[in-house]
Amino acid sequence: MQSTHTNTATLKPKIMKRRDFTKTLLGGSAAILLNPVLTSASSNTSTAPWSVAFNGVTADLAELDLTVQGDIPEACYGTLYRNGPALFEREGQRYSHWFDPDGMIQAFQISEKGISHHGRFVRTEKFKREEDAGRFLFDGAGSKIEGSFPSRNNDDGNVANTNIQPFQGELLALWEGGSAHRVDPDTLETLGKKDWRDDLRGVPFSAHPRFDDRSDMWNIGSLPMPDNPALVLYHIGKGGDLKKVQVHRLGFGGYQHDFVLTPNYLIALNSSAVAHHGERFVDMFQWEADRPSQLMVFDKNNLSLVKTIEVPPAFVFHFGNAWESRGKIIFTASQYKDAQFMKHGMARLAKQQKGPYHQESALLRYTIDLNKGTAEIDKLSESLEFPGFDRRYPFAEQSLLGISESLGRPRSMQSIITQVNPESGQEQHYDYGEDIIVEEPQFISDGSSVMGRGFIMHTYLNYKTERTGTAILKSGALADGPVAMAEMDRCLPLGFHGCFLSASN
Amino acid sequence: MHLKSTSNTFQALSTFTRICATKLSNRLPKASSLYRFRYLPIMLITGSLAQSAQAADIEMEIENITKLTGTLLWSIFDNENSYKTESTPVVAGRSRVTSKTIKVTLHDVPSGYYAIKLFHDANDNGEMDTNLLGLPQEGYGFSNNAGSFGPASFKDSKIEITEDTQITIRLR
Repeated sequence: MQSTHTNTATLKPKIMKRRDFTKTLLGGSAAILLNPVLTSASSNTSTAPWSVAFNGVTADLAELDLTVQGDIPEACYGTLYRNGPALFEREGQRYSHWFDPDGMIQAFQISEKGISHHGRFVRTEKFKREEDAGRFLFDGAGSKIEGSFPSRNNDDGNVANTNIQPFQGELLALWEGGSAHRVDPDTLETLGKKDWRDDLRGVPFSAHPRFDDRSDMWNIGSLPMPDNPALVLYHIGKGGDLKKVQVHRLGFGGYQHDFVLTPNYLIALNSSAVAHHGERFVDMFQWEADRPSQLMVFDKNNLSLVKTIEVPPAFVFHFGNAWESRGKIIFTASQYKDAQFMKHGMARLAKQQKGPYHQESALLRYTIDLNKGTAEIDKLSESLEFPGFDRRYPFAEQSLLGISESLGRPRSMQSIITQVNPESGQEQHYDYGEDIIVEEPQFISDGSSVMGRGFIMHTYLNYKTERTGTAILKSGALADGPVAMAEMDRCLPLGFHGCFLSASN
Repeated sequence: MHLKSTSNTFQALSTFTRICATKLSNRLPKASSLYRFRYLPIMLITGSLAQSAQAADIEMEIENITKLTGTLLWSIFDNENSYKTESTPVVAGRSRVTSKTIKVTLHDVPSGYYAIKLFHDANDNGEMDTNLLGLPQEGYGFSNNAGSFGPASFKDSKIEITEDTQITIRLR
């Protein structure tokens, strides 16, 4: 095994000056809408100043217009969907980990008339049963619920709160421990579970399905049980037909959230956060600093294991895209030093406590030589999460989008949108300043077929004014700042992942 | 009633790994082989368990039956070994499911410790339906409503009977 850490690019973000209208929008609203609750919360030394980001909501959200400043490019007409943990509390009981609140789909509809928002909880069986009972009934992945009921199977705790992706004219609200849920793209009504096959009901299906250049869907389902860890691999045709499913037993049950798809391979990372017996899911994982992680390379043709490559201990939530070049496989990963963010940081956030959150995720580039069974590892960026790209070209070398921490402002939240060249590591940034928390960016094509040419749309929360908004930047010109921003008098909880569906499709 | 579960097929894991209830073999297991349910002859539904100077009645209320079809099967064990192997229940029985709650009364139960397992065979196919990973798709439960996921241990589900007793078991 050979693996090297070469820091090819450690460019510090250049903090760009905001455009004037941005100042007007954010600064003006800040002056008007300072929140007394936030003021009192801020005086509490243990409460994070951005605690409103984790207040959550308790009911579906009716349509509400956003106030738009700037010009929305026509290419951005469509709907930005997002999913995230939203119902934090029932009957005085509050979840204590960000994994656990029930998912709500947020839809931002963008047209020549402007931007409007509406949101709706995913009606999982769990949500409906707890709504009827008026209280939480089941423990969460990281939360203990008083008087909780035993579970029949995984889907008893399915909160469908992690991602929302289009499939066959509908949306799939995704979790990772159980079934996906179908959602109506217009009304956001839950249409039921997506059962790929009768015997796949309740089988883990990750929140990060990936699509190949034929629009086939690939996914993993992770089973990090201490005694019999396993990984389920899925290949689903673009028509929804299950082409193949395969279960692989693993040597150890490392946490797995996402995976890598290349033209010929599916690569999973069996991380060094290893499951042992424990009361709740998150508690089970112990960081084993001396245990190499495993890159498991599977052949997409038959889902068989081709090679296992040991790499230094790794913890990754999200991977970028991947490509094959001159006999090598190259992919990027937002990699953490350990599992502290999942185990402790996400709990502190849900509990609205101050940091540290241990959320330092650097963008690393892995170069795999399958013949030699080696992986070289370079660092491309000091801080990048939620890596995104032009998904029309899943197997091409292209720049990555993401959000970055505010380097120099320790214990803060991500306020920077970043674009990274995967070859040179050269970065562009736009920093919204410390009042703003930015969320996963989406690439939007300008209508041409040129890879990476278009716009970047993302949501954000101004936690000082308690207003959620969306912003649009020009891809490749982040320093110019947003071409349009829109805000509403509504504070959404921070979410995880989503997608953009163009009106022209 | 036989809910076949070896000691490591079902462990008290937490939500996500609850998933993993079953022992995975290298090859894909057939679900039915993991949770085969074997009907036992009805020994008793309501009647005398045994004659004893110190005998009591157990009134068992089973709730949270989500499908009004099929058969509810239950079996009662008085020691850990038979509880694990499900080979020799002291009594087992079945009830047609026509309501969300079912009451079963056992008479003249000798004083002692007992643990109860229940399974709702909603489609009357004689086995517990499971998914690819062997996770139950039909309802089941244990006395004391023991366990958080997967089979509860005898230790957790046992109840002491010294006098007439009412218990409620919630199917998962």
